[in-house]
Amino acid sequence: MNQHHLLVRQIKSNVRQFAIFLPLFVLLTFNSCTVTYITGYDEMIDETTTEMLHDFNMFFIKLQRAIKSKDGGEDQKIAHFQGYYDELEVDLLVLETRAAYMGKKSSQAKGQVEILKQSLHQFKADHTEGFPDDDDDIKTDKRNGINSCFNSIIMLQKQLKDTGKAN
Amino acid sequence: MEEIDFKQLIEECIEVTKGHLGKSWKAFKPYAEHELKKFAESAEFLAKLRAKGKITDDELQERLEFQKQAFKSVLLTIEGIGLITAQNVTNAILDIVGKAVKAALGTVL
Repeated sequence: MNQHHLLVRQIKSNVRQFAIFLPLFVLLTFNSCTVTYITGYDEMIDETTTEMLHDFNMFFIKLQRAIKSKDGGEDQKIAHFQGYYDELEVDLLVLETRAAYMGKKSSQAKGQVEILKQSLHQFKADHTEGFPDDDDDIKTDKRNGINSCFNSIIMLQKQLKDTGKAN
Repeated sequence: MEEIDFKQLIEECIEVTKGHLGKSWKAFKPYAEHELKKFAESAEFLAKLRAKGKITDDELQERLEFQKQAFKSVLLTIEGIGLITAQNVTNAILDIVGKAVKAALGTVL
C-alpha cells in the first residue's frame, strides 16, 4: 500500500514538473527557432576579394597599355608581370583556405571562389602563351568576365553581411 | 557578317531574366542589369574582333565560354540573394508566431 502511494505521488510530481516545464520548453523552442538556408559571410574573403579587384584592374590597365604599344610583343610578356601573379597566387590561396572552412550551406560562396580561381588561372595560361601587340584585341572581354567574378563575390558577401536582408 | 543589335540583345536578356526571377526581379534589377550589360558588351567586342578577322571561330568560342563561366558566378549571387530573401521571410514569420506564443503563455521577455 505504501509503495502504491509513493508511486502515485511520484507520478503526480512528474506531471506537475512537466506542466511547469512545458511552457518553458515551448518558449525556448521558439526563441531558438531561426532557419538558415544560406551562410558564407567571411570577412577575410570580403576584404581580400575587394583588394584583388583593385589590384587586377591596376594590372590590366598596364597590360592593355603594353599590348597597344608596338614593340614586338616585348613589354606585355608575363615575365614583366610576375610580381602581380605571385601576389595573386597568395590571395587565391587565402580565398581557397577560407572557403574550405565554410559549412554545407555556403555552396554559392564556395562555388564563386572556385570559378574565380579557374578564370584567373585560365587568363594566366593565356598570358603565358603570349599576347601579340594589337590595337583592337586588348582582352576587354576577359577583363569584364573576371571583374564579374570579383563583383559577384563582393555582392553576395555584402548581402550576407547586411544581416541577410536582400531587399 | 550581319550586324548584331546589342541594345536589343540586352533588352531580350533582361526580359528572359525577369521572367525567370518573377517577383524577385526588383531586388536584383540594378545588379542583374549591370552584369547583363557587361556580358553583352563583351559579346559585341568579340563579334567585332571576329568580323575584323582578328580571332578565329575557335578562339571566339573559347572566349565566349570564358564569359559563360564568369556569368555562372553572377547566377550564384542571384541564387544566394534569393535564399537570403526566403530566409528572412521565414524567420520574420517565425518571430511573429514566437511572440504570439510567448504572449499566450503570459511570459514577459
